[in-house]
Amino acid sequence: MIGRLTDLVVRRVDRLCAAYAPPLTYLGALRILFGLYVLVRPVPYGWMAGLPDAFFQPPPGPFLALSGPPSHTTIVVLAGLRTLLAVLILVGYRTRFASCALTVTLVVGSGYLYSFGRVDHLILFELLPAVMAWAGWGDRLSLDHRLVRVTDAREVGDGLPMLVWGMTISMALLTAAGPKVFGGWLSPGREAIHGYVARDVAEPSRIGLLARAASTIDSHLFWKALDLTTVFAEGWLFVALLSPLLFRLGLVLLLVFHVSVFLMLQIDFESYTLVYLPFFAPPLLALVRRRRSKMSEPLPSGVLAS
Amino acid sequence: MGILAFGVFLFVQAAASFSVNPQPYPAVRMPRFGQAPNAAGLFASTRLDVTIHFADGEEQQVVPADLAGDVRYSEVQAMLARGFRGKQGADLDPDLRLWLANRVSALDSRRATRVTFCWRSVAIDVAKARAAHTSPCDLTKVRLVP
Repeated sequence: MIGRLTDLVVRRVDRLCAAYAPPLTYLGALRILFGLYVLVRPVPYGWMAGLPDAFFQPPPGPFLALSGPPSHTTIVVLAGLRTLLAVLILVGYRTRFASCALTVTLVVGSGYLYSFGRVDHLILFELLPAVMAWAGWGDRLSLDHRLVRVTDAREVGDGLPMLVWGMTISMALLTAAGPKVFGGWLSPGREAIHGYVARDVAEPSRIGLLARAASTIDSHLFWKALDLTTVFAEGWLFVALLSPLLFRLGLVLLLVFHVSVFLMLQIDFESYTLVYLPFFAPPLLALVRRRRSKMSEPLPSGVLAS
Repeated sequence: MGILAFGVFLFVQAAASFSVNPQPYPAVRMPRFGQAPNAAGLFASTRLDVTIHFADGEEQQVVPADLAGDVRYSEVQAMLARGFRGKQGADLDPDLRLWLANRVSALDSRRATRVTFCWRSVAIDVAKARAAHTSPCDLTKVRLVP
């Protein structure tokens, strides 16, 4: 009985891995985008320099071992290392090492940042390079490929890292949904998102582009639907993961949610587009193929005549 | 079976991270936001007002993020609370006082004597998008000149 159940699970996981297996060229393009993003939009570290020790209190975890705020040298080294590793990732040189090292560098940088205030939530962005290196994002469109460090002839990578990445995203989002359930977001009479929008309008220190307009919407149905959709979008991904199509739909819903949060509360999660992009190979590649085939179509004779 | 073990690991690390306060790092977590407004439509929030007092008797309110300078926006409120909330006079670290004096002089060239931080609990009327009740100040006064 247990043996049969194990076989069933193993078969199901194998099928899922095959379904999530990513085209390596697509992952290569994603790697280039990621490298560019880190270079163009780096999280600033410089502001930590010269802040008094009294502000410094690392969060529970390994960063408790830090003895005090980072020195100027530490900040310069961290930022320089991040730039160097992002360049290596961009060109795909020693990609596996560079990707894992960049994950470590970004986590250490954030460990310092969060020691001055509270934990922000960039962890998925920080973990992405290490997992994608495992998935093979350095195996195409890279110097590693040109210099024949990668001898693998296959066009599609291993699906297991993608499944692991999908589980990681699902877990992260579940940790956002769970507390909302216990915090009254599902209660019929309470409008949670409306509450946050109203707070930002009442106490405007940083306000979303649509917050004022949204706060005038006097529809309980609208606000409650937003609350329920948010909890659903964050909470169901573990189930959606069982079907790549459903999972992609779930990620699209999340992107819509992130954009809405930005427009209403000005909380910016643009970097998370890269976190979700590994799963969008089929629709995006289909789009590219359609564009290419349209461009290669012969022009109608009338066009040449004119 | 490794994938199932990984799933268990994800759940365990999440459960462990919720059992610790403040939130640990690194952990695979996303922002949870907070409580929904209560059934009466009141949303609980905390407000920080920062006022600079000058030697000529004038005073000026400044936005906390402006006072903090180029500190990452999401860290400002927690950082200022950690540094100044519940502290008075001799409790205050001299480096902190110096940092504050430098920040104030960067914002306004007049001679400042004191900065007050006022933390209040605010109940926001969600339907009207304005404060319905405000608690008295939890006040910190920082003298900038001896």
